[in-house]
Amino acid sequence: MPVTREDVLAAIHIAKAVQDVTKLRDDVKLSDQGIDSLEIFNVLLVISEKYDIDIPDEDSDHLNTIKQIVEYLNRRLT
Amino acid sequence: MIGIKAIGTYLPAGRVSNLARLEEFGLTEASLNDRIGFRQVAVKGGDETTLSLAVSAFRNLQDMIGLDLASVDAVAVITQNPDRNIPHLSAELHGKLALSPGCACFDISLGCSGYVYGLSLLSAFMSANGMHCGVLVTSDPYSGIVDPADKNTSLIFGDGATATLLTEDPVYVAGAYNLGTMGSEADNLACNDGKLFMNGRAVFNFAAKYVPADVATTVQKNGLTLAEVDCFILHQGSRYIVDTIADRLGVPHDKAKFYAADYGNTVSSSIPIILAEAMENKSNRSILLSGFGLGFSWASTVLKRLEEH
Repeated sequence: MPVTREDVLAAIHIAKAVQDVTKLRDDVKLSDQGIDSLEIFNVLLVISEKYDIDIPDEDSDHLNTIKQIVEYLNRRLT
Repeated sequence: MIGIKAIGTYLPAGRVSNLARLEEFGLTEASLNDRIGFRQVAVKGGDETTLSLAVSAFRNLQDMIGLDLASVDAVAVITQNPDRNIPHLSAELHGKLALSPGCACFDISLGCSGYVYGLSLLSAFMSANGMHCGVLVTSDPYSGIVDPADKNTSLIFGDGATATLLTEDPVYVAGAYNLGTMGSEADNLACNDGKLFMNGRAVFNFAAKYVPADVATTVQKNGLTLAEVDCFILHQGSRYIVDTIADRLGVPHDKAKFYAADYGNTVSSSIPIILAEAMENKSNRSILLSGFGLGFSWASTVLKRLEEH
């Protein structure tokens, strides 16, 4: 089953990165939506644990939006 | 049974304000308070050394309990920033304090996990050798190896020292320990060419992934549940790391506090500085200690307060 934006929003919720994930936009940088670098580390950790994958630094550097994370996961998991 | 009787501490008077550096590093006050957590960091004075910090902590311990120096059988010093590599700092401390020739001294090369490792090492060493009185010293100032322009490290580390008295008449005794290392990741937090390097994401991932499991295992090894532990003293890596570990364990933040906002991450002194105060609270019958960091190593134990105290 493909990864959806809801899956990523669930990870952001678990990481307590924002109060209300429903207000997040898919194509805007998370860092521009009030999520700082430490929280992004946490979100990516939650995702890496959920899908049992390692997300190296060279990949995480390019995961700035929800859309990019969804596309990345679907590439990695197929 | 050998355990902790008292803890002396020393924080140098000097402080560098992180609040004054917000613009330099593009931070807000909220992110400093809620994420990094350290509003200022302690910095030793120009005339202070790793040895002098250790002496000051030791003198504080003496002042607290009137320790007879002639009774000290062993001293172990945890440091990776001695004033010089040879001889070992514990021998220099021995000389400075004019301890007995029969007092055994050795150094332990560990960072943020060092205090908990040191408790296990020194108490086992004392038991094995029939010793009655030992002092575990931490003195590992990072101000000399931190690049002031490095955002990843210069807002975090503070200087400090502690001296923990281990005797056969303790207030707290340690139960089972849990210890480990992920050495393959050690390069992510290392001193290269005299300057500290830290890969923040790797350190965060390590702390968030391995430390909650370590803490849970330690509590279980000691026959307790997380809810039965009165106080969790987690190494003060940053506020966000402390809060994340507490969240992942499901432990309320008021039982796993961030304490170090006014002096910084003092490496191996981080836990005993907090423990010195926590020991004063008699309602802390069980205290979880969790050290983790350099070498991607971890060490935890549970201290139990003896009934007569």
